[in-house]
Amino acid sequence: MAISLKVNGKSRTVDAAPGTPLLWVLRDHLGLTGTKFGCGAAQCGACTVHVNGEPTRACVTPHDSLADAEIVTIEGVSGAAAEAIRNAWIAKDVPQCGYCQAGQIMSATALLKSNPAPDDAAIDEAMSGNLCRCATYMSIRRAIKEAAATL
Amino acid sequence: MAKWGRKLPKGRGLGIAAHRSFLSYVATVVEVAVSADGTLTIPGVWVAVDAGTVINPRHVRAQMEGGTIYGLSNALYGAITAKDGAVVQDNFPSWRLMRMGEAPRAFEVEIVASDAPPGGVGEPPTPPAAPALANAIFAATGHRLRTLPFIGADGSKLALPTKQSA
Repeated sequence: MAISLKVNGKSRTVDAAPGTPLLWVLRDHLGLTGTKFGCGAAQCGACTVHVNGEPTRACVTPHDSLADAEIVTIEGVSGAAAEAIRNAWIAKDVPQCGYCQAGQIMSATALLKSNPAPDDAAIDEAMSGNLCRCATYMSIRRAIKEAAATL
Repeated sequence: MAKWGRKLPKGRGLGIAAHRSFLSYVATVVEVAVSADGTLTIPGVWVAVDAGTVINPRHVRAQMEGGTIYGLSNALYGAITAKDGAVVQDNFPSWRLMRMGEAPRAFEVEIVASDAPPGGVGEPPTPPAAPALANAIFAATGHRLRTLPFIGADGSKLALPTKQSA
């Protein structure tokens, strides 16, 4: 059944099977492939997007539960926190293989939006749902602190 | 750089290990803090690397951090077992990987100046991570853990021998 979703500020009509996870609607129906598939079980965070500003695992979120929601992906994330995170990520050379980084950036941006000066405990809390097999955790922590300092 | 030999509070310990692979030498010191119930944290890690001629020092530092944390992750959590001809651990719920909150708090890397031919930096930090960690746990607790992984996919604490069995 076709439904309307608001993705990155634009209204998009999607005709996907009921219960199809948002991740596959983004990637396969809307061509927004910046959001990655990692585990399909909300364990790794590679598929993190914002739903009404909250970091959300798209791989386990049925798209048809989001009819009135504001969905933001890595392609559309914007604002002061997103800008600070993007600049810090470049300055600190955070990505290694890069696969998890869209999810890391979405979680980090949501953190800075709700807490512009996070301490280590707040960073652990916000970022522990995002796995990184290259283990860029030290770089991520440095970049979040640098981004916070510029806000 | 790790201030080896410094006085540490009870439950803390330093461990060291070194290994040569892919033409590169990596020496690793891990500091652990182990509480009485076996809860482990990693306050610091120090890595010295001689990889010959270094083209991109930031890349070398990133690889030392990442390769070391991957080694620590496998030592603590990363069992791979086979059953009926297939690997049991098929996804992250059963194959546990170190998360941000479990990663070391501090991490220093020292690159030894050298004009020798360039060696690898991707894998060389991984082999010394587990023995440095195990030595640190011994220094902190007096117990040699000899079965990997030390915590496992579902655990939260080190399996330290009880006083009766020690």
